[in-house]
Amino acid sequence: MAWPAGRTASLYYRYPHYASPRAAELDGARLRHKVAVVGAGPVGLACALGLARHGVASVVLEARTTVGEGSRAICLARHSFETFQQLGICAPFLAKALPWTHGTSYYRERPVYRLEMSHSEDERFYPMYNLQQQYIEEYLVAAAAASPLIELRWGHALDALQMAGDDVRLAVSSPAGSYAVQTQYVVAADGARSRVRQQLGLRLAGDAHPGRYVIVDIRLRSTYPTERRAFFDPPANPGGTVLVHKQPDDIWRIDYQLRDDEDETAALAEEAIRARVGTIVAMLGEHAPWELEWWSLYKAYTLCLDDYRHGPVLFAGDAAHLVPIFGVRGLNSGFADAADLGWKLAFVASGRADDALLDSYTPERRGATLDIFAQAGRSTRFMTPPTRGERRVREAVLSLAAQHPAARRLLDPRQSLPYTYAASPLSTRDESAPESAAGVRVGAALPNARLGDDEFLLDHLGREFTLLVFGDRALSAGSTHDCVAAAAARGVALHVLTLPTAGRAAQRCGTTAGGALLVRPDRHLCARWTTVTPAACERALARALALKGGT
Amino acid sequence: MTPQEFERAYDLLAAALDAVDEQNESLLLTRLALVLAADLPNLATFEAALAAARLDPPDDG
Repeated sequence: MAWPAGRTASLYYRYPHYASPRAAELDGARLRHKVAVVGAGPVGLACALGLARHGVASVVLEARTTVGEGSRAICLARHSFETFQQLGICAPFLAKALPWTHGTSYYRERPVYRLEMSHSEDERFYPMYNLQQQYIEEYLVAAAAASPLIELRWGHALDALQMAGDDVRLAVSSPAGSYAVQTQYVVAADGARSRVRQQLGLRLAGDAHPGRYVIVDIRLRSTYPTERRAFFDPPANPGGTVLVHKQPDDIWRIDYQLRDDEDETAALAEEAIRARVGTIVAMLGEHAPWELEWWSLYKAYTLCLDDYRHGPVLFAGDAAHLVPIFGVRGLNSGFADAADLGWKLAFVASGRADDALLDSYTPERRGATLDIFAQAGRSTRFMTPPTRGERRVREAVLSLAAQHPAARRLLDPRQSLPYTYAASPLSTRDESAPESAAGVRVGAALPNARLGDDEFLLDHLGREFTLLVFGDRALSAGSTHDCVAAAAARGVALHVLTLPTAGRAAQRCGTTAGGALLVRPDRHLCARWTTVTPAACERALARALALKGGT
Repeated sequence: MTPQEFERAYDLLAAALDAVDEQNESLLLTRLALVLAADLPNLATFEAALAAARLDPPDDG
C-alpha cells in the first residue's frame, strides 16, 4: 500500500492508538486461557465477540497498536449485518455505512446491465453497505473493549506456537517483555500471512488467477448515488476493466485492471496513478477536484487450507482462505466463519458440547469457501478472461447484453449470499418433510420476515437455540416446557417462538400449521419438522451439539 | 436452457474456440450457427437470432 509523496497520514481518518497493556503472565500469573485469538482484525474481533456472547472469555493478541491501514474491504453484505445484530453492535455501522441495492455495468461507453439485488419489505437490512475497513475494525474494537470477557493485548506479537499436551503454548513478545500464553484453544485470525499457519507448517493450496488490478482510494465530492459501477473495455482503460464504489467521507474506490504488457513498477508510480485516475474520473463525468488517498496492487487468488481445524487450533478468515474480491466475499465470508466458529467453540470451551462439535467447522466453512471459489472464480474469469476463447465469448456477451436478456444474466457479479450447510453433520432431516418440499432448507440461514412496522423475525431469535413453531396448536404448553427443560438439562437455553401460520414468517419459511424449525445460534437451520415432538427436538438439539444421542 | 446451462454453454464455447487455431474461429462459429439453425423450428426464428447477433444493432440508448 502506498501513500502520495510527502504524506504519511490519511486525508480523512485519524488512526487510533491503542495502549499496549502489560500481560499478567509477565508478573508471574499462571493463567490457563480458554481461548486465545491471534489477530485483532475484523474476523478475530468478531470471533471474540461471538465467544463473549456465549459467556466465554478470550485473550486477543495483536502485533499492531491500531486498526488495519487503508480502507481495504469496503462492502458488507446483509448477512454480515445480521451477524452484527446478533452481537448487538449494529448501531455505529448503520450510522456510518452507505447502503446500496443497485449497480450498472457498461460495455465501452454504453450501459448494458442493471444489477438489482434482492431486497424486500421483509428485510431489516439492505443487501449491501459500503464502509471502509478501518471503521469496521474501530467499531468492533469498541465493542470488544466494552466486554468484560475480552482482553485485548495490543502490541503483543506471536513469535512461536507449540502444542503442550492438550493445551497450546504461545510465545509472545510485547513492549514490556516476552512471555508465554497457555491456552486450551487458539483461533488463528491473523490474516493472509498467518504466523500461526506458518508455525504449524501449513500452506494454502489453490490457484492464482491472471490479471493485475490497481486499487485506489480518492477523495471526491460527488452527488452520484451509492451503487456498483463496472466498466468493461471503457475509453479510460481500453481492453481492461474499471470498478467504482462510493464510500463514506466522500471517498471513492477506483479499481482498474492493468494491461498484460504494462510494467508493474511504472504503473504503480504516483504520476502514473494520477494520470490514469484523472482519465477515469473524467470518464465518470466528474469535474470537481479530487485528492489521492492511497493505492495498492491486487491479484486474485483462490487458496485455502485443506482443513480449518488442526487439533485445538482453528483458522478463520484470510488465515484459512483467500478468495477473489469480485462478489465481495472476502471479509463477509470471514464474518460467517466467526459466526460459525464463535458458538461452537463457546459451547465446547464451556463444557456444554463435546470437542467433536468443532469437527463440523471445516465441512461447513470450507464447503462455503469451495462454493465461493466456484462463484467468484467465474466472476474473476469474466473480469479477466484467461484464454483467447474466453475473451471472445466475453466480448460476444458484452456486445449482446444490451439487447439479449440471457447474455445480460452473465454480467451478474454474484454478490455474497449466506451459504447453505446442506451436508452438515449437525443437521436433522425430517423424513416426513423431504428436502424437495417448499420452504427454507435445513442448513440454510433463516430468512428474515417483517412482523411489524419495525419488527422482524430475526429480532426475536434467542441467544442460543431457537425453536420456531407455527400455529398455537403446534406444541402444547406442556410439550413446550418439556423441550425447554430438556435443553436446559444440557445447559442450553432454548427459546421457543410461536408464530401465526398465516403470517409472513410462515410464508418466508415455507411452513404450514404445526410445522417447526430449530435454529442454531448462528441463524442456520439444523432441523425442520411438519410436526414436532419434545423427543424429536431433544434428539435434534443433541445432534446439533454433536452429542451422543443425536439422531 | 436454464441459466446454469447457459453458463455451461459459455464455458464449452470458450473451450471450443481455444481448441482451434485463431484463423479457424470464424469457420467454427459459422458451422455452429448452421448446426443450431437446422434445429430451429422455422426460418423466422433464425432471422430474429441473426438480427440480434448483428454487430450494428440500432442504438436503443
